[in-house]
Amino acid sequence: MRVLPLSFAVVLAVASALGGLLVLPGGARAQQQASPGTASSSGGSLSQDDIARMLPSTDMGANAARNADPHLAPVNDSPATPFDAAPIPHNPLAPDAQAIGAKTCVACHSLENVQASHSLHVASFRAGAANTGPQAACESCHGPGSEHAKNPTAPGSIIAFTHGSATTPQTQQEVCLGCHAGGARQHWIGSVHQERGLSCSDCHNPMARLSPEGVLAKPSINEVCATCHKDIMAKFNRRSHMPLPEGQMSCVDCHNPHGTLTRPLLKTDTVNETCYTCHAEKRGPFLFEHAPVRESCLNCHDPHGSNQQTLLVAPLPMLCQQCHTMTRHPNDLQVPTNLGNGSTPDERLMGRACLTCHTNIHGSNNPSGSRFHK
Amino acid sequence: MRTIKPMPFAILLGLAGCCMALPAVAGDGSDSMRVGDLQYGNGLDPRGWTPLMAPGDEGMSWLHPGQLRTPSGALYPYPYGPPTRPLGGGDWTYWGLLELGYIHVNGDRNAEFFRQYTDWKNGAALGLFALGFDNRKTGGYVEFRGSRLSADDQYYRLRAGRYGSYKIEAFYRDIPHTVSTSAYPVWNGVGSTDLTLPSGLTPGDSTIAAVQQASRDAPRRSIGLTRTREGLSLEGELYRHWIGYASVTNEERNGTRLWGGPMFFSFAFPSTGSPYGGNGGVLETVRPIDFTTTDVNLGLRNVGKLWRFNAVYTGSFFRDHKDHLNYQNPFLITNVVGLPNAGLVTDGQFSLEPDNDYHNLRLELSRELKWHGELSLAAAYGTMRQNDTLLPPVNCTGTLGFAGGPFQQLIPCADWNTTAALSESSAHARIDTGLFDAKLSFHPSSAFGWHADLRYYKEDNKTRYLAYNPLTGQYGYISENGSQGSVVPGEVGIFDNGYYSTSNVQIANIPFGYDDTLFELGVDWNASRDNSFNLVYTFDHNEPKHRERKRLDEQRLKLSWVSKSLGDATLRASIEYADRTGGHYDYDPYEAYYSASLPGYVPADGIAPTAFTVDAMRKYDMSDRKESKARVILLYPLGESSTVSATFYGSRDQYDAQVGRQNTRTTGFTGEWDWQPSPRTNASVYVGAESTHLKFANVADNEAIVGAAGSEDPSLGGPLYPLENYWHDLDNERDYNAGVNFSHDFGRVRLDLGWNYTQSLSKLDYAYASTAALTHPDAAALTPDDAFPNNHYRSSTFSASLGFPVTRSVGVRLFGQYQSGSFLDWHYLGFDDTLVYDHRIYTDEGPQLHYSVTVVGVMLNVKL
Amino acid sequence: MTRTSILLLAMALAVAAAGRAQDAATAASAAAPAAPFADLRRQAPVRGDAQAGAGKATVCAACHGPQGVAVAPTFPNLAGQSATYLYVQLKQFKEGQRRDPVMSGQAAPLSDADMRDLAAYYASLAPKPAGPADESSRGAQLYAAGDPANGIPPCQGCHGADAQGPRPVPNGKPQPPWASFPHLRGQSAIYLAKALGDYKSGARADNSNARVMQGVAQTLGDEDVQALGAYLSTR
Repeated sequence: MRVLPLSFAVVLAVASALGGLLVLPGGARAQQQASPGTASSSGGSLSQDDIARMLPSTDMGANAARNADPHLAPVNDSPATPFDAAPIPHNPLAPDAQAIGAKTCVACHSLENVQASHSLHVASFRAGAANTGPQAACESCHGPGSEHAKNPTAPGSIIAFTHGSATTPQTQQEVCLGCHAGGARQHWIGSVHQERGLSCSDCHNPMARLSPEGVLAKPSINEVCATCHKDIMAKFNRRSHMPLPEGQMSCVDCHNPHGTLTRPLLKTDTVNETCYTCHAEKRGPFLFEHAPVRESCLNCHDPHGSNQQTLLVAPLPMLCQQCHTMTRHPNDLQVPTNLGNGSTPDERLMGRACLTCHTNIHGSNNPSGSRFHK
Repeated sequence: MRTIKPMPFAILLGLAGCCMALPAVAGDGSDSMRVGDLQYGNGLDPRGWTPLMAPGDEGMSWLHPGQLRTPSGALYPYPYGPPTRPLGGGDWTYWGLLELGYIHVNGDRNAEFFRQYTDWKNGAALGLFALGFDNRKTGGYVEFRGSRLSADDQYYRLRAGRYGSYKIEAFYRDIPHTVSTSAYPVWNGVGSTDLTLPSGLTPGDSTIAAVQQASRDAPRRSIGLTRTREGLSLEGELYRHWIGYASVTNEERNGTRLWGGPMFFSFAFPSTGSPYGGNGGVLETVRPIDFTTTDVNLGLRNVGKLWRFNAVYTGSFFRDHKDHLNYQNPFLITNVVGLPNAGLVTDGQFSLEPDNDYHNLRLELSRELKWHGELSLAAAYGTMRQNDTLLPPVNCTGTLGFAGGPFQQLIPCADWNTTAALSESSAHARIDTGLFDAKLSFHPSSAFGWHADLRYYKEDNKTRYLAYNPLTGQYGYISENGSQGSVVPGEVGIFDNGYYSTSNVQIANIPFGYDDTLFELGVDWNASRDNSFNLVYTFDHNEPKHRERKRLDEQRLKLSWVSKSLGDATLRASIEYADRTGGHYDYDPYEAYYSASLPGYVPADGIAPTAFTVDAMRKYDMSDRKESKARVILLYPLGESSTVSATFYGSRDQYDAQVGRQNTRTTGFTGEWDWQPSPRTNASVYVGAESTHLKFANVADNEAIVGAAGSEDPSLGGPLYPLENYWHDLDNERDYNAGVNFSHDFGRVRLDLGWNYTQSLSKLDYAYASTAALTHPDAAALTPDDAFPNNHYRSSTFSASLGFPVTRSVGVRLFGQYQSGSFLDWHYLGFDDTLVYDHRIYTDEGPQLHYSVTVVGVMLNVKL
Repeated sequence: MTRTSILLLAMALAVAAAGRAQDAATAASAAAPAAPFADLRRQAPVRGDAQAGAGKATVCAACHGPQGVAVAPTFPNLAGQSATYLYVQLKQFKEGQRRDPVMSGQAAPLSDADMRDLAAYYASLAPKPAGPADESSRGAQLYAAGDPANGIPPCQGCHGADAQGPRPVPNGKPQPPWASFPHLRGQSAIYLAKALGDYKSGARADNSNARVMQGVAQTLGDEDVQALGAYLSTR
């Protein structure tokens, strides 16, 4: 326990130092900016079109796209934050709706405004608002709000992302991808979650801070995935499992739910490459390879959990005996008398069975290791 | 006990500090693109955030009660908003929480399943320290989270940046993994590369009684490891819409794992009553884990209106600081022909994993097309390489083996215990991979869409190694540290044109690899607003290298249905059918890698080499297979504040194999009810059950004729693999899960209660044509049930927590957890009596059969 | 317990004690406890006995008029008002979330049944006849479309296109307590201005609907309030 104060002191010192460090550049930056709020208080002279034009495009520098759109006035100034220029998405169910600006929205949705300001997503729009005055942070996602404000329950009058909304999942996805295309979502189109009609808001809720990161719809990644994949989550209760219930791992450590180049949504080219990211020692290559190991870790392991040791899909030595019927010792039927408490204890069955001798089963780099016992 | 290594941590943070000065603009996160380090938590708080989950009474909106649901129908939790306070006079605000307290563990605190991934300790613990700073004007932010249960179980994580501009992350974490808490290794030097026998045991010449005594005297130890990871990453705009990403992570993995030690098999040599026991040697040893892995990730992307480009480089550099394990063998190993052995077999050796380097570069390009279409191309090249210096074939000294009459089987160690005995001094191992993927999709109308995908992947193993000893001119190797050659005539592992000319041994590595081409065609049909269908056909053509089949073709059809027409419910159902076939199945594709293919090979007594395996064997990754799967996922909103969800799933696999895996079946169900009547109250109940089944067949060979006429016949039903030696194993497993969780904030006190239960039962049955399938046919009479004892794993955890606010910003939380479990695995039966069985030494007694352990603690909670 | 853990706990307790002292100080400076916040989000439509209410309305008529149309523009017209709205207001006068020199005293002796009956009675009365409203006035425009440039939302979203209450389309989502939103048609301009002023100043803030109106009222300038009053009172 002697080490605790040291590590703890380091953490505290680091945290406070960083806090201090950031105050300084923050203040400096603020001075460079035009005084906020002037645009919003000058009020009356702005038309709805003016507001629409001022409305942000988040795609981190979507000015390129904006400039390519003949319906929007060209911009060449660098916005104060990249959120200052997001386009307002078109709502196919309310084609005539017009933008009304965030201030109008939060006049009624005041509590939403408070809760949402704790979320990264809305906080970033607010940062934009602080710089450019009236803008449609809300409408950058929900589409133009005039129809909704006049008749809030009319189906489709606003782009909505929750249960019972008239907005189609396709429209919902397009709104989010308007800014978040590419990168981790490069393969969203055609991914299994897209094809099953999931909406971004099935897993994310940018309207409140419900998770430490990732504006998730539940407090943790694993809880989000478990909304639908409870059978997989149950496997982590088994005797051998990856440390998900212990909080050390999440589903998204291996899978990218936004779509990838593999069917199980793995982030790497193959199953094995995903496993190697933590189990780098098994990458080798080895002088002597074990064919099913190099082919796929899943031949022998269930990565989510198993009732055998080390995530194996079947008990040893039976796992091995599914393929190994070579002459002499591999192919005998093992029976309980060969157990440690039996009349003829047999190393092929006891303890770690085959692996007690063929220990380098993932491959051997020894010149005498062709059978993995060196 | 270790602590944070201050230097690397300080360097990381220093780097983070420098990066903040970068005038970058842009960048949304790409975390979900990269493997690992997305979750920071521990056994005390798996979410790593729970103390901050205190919803206010207000809810989400003044306009309506309750909480909204996801489009599929699950309730969003009520918002937890950390109250922010202004920091100084500027635009920065901050929030923070410190949870600090004391944990006490009572009962079987060393139970393996209790400690598996959590380093529970008595003493002070940092539940959570979380701090956040936000600048409402610039969008700048800094967030920190940390928790510490012990020096081996802690995390600290910092994120900082400016919304939409750049982001920096730095972390340090220790992850414990306990493999066994009841290990009794007899060797000295556990954790090092040299396991030596304790005084009282003589290498190669100990009595069984002495080994037993040494095992009894061995102290109990834990086997396990700690992963210490630290990392730094930076993401931001580099130049006009080009977003860059860079990260470095480093992991030190230290500890031990259970390992092996073969000195030839022992089951065939029952003790004859000699104090030195039978023959052979089977040693469960302990290996060191001392790894360093450094990963580098670089990414560059451009997201335009039409084009999207993404380039990712991944480099991983693995270093094994203990790349071998030497161990001593206590047992006397003698030959079966009654000659005196030239020397004692005392030393064994393992090569542990070599260092390796890995590079992967992936380029992705997508373009939007008309009709809501997209063309997406991806190509990747990867290479994994290692060129470690090879160890000599054996580490013995002097002379092993025996000589007399026709058996001139001496193994002069000096000819083999030097790297001069190798055809190459280093491994030159390399596998290159290539990936190309092209996908085209169109949705010309909202009702209809289609996509086509072509994926090609290649794994090319370039390793070529010939087991040739230039010192002796012999091929092959020394099997099992010279022990096999010290026991059985002719079976040293060597081939030459003299004494060993009848020996059929592996003389080269087999460079396994494959080319895989996958074509997919899918159509979407939105039949109505509430019903949509999706049909996908996949053709997977695989060309394995040096395997039993040169070609494997799988056709797969999957139909999915998403329905919102059942009231408020969302139903997602799919059925899938796949049929795998392939080319000719060659039961022995490895001939070229064995000495029987070399000139000078002479079949013993004129009989062709013994059949490699039975020709009816179909390995399950290569066999014909028919697969069907079905799955239904239902989310049903029940009233305003609760949700019922259920999944039903099943799969059936039929393998066309007389010998080998024949079928597998899985059927399961889960159900859950979640209730969230107000921000103060939460409850859930869940149940789950799954049944799995696996059946395979094998055939014991007729060992009496090995080397005699007929042993070259691979056919099932032939003399070597007679039908009366045919047998089956049937593995049936059942898993049950249940749990209840409830929490309510009474205002003066917040109560959290939970019970989570899991139970697994495994039953292994077998069937055989005749008792000849058994090693000891007489044993059949002793096991009339034709079944192994049932394995089980049961775990039940009650947890309770009471939180009292003391002031507005200070609270106290008392918590307790009672976990109990029971376990049986027949692999370990008898190990509680002895770990030494004639010429076998076991180290791991196995997980505890019963355990119960209580964790209690008090945490002081301060909102900063 | 080891020495370090004791030390850490002691530190933590010290922080706690400091926090408590601070809290005590702020608590002392706070005002006397107010009436509990009324969460109207689950407010169900209210029903009562209109006939019985008629019998209890004698005192009310003094200000609100014998037919629910106020005797002076300082008092609100109650005729045809939403019963739920009326009930909630009476209840809040009684419980103290809403305060008025006259109404607080008047509501104090009323039983729950009294309040329901009175609410039902006034809801059953015919509203004041429509007036010659100017549909091109700024008030009309604010009511129907708001003024986005100033962040003013249209009133009609909650108070109905005809100012006679909302007509929501059911959609399976959690719904606002529509019935508790007042009808504004024909309401006195002076009373409307007072109500909006009370929302804006926070004098009326102790229920969830008031929290919504607080946000809305803050977007309205004095001229906006007058324009709305002029429009609605003549409608």
